[in-house]
Amino acid sequence: MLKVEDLNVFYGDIQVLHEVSIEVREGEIVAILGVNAAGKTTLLNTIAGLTKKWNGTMTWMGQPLHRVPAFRRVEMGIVLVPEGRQLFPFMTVLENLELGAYSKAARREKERSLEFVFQLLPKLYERRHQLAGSLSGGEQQMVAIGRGLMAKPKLLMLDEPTLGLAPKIVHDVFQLIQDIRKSGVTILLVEQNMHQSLQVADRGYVLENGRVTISGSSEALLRNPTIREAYLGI
Amino acid sequence: MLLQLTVSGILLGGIYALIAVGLTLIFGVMRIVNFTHGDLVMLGMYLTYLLYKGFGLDPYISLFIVPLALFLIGVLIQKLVVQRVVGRPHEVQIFATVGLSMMLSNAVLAYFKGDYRSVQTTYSTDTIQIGPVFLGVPQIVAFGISAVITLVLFLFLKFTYTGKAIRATTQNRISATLMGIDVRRVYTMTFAIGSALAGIAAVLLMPLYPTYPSIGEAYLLIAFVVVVLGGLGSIPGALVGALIIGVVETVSAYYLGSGWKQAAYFVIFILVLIMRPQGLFGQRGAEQL
Ligand SMILES: Nc1ncnc2c1ncn2[C@@H]1O[C@H](COP(=O)(O)OP(=O)(O)OP(=O)(O)O)[C@@H](O)[C@H]1O
Ligand SMILES: [Mg+2]
Repeated sequence: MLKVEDLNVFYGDIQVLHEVSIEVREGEIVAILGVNAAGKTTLLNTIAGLTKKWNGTMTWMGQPLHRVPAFRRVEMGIVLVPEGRQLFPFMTVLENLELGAYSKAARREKERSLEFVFQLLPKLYERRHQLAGSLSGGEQQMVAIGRGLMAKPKLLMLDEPTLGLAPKIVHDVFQLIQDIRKSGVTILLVEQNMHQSLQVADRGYVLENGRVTISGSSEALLRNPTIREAYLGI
Repeated sequence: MLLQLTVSGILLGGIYALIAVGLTLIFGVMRIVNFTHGDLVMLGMYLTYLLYKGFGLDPYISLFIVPLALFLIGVLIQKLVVQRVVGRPHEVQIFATVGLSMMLSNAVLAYFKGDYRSVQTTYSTDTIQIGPVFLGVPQIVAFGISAVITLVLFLFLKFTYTGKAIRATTQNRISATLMGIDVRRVYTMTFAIGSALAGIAAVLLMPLYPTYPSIGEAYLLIAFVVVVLGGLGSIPGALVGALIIGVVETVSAYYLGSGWKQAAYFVIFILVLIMRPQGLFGQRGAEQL
């Protein structure tokens, strides 16, 4: 459903992604893996329409994304849950979730989506009248994901959803990701947590210094000697 | 006497609140200090004057026309000037809006000359007595309308989709985009609403005070002091700040002479900057509401 080919992305004169090609098919969980500064966030931001200077081709359901501004991509079903949650801190949990359903199609389904999100994340229902800025890191991550689901995504992109969370919560997040996929949403997951990501993902791409160096099915990646040595420490 | 002055000051502050809320809203959303804000009030006052002179329209009827006109002027200014400098360095933003401010006041000066223009209505000097206090009818009407408009604005920001989009953009511009919000459209709406509020204030001021081409500077100064006092970007802060400044103005004008009221603003301005730089309601800059 999403196809990125020979993508180059620049910040000013500095090129941070080099000829990156990835594909996401409907119903998959695809993981983008790599260490700090590899360019993972840049890749997701570019797919979401947030970076200005890029070339290459990006197509969504066969349509080129070249001239589509970021806010319209949300309407098309491409939804990013950004790194560091980025909630609206002076709004309540409920207001944050409702804003997730801002785009036209999502607005019509708002009540049903809310029910779905609260069913998936009952903790949020208890906290719905609390200011988002006052929640714990794990709860904030749940709000960020819930807010993304409110947009009725076809493709949900998650940028390091487990960053800074306790192991127990990390486990919950990975469980949640699988539940979301079961509900019919395709997922593009950026993670540094390679082992657990490959447990839930179908396929993965490894980014190094802005280039895709290794890619393949999760099983293949878990068996790959380079990955075992460099990333899994086995 | 002090009671009389305080009540008059609060009534005046209601109008200042409309001007200051617009300024603070625009700052909160676009992170731009709008130096044309006073000139928007000035344009509104001249429009009210023209409608009165040309068509005999009572200012309170102009209340249905002038804010609408200012809304459209706001859209134009946003699209032609402000949009181009959003996110640019402060010097660029200041040059652009100060330059536009000078253009507007000088255009009005060229057309109307420097004379004072005013609107005489039958009720301009009517007063009513409440206990020991005498209040001008136009002042009371102005305060009442300001209060209603402020409440409407509050409900708009709290409950409508556009209002929520404005608040979301204030709190996190990138996240707002990721919600599917067209941030550019939010900028335009915000600037236009701020301009319309200045237009409402202008109509309410017209039965009370004459206008002249450089009057915008005076209202810009007041709005600045109010916004700094209340906390940049904070709407509740702007409301409370406006009432305080209204009272400071009437009290200082009475006891020290009206030439001193600007000095009184500055004393307050400096005191706030020394004692509570974030303003009364400010929280880490302007992410509130
Ligand atoms: N707005 C920006 N302006 C300039 N350079 C940037 C910007 N954002 C990122 N970079 C640079 O681009 C490179 C890739 O950054 P990116 O954030 O995409 O990496 P990442 O893989 O997401 O890292 P992390 O795991 O730390 O989040 C880094 O060298 C970073 O310094
Ligand atoms: Mg990142």
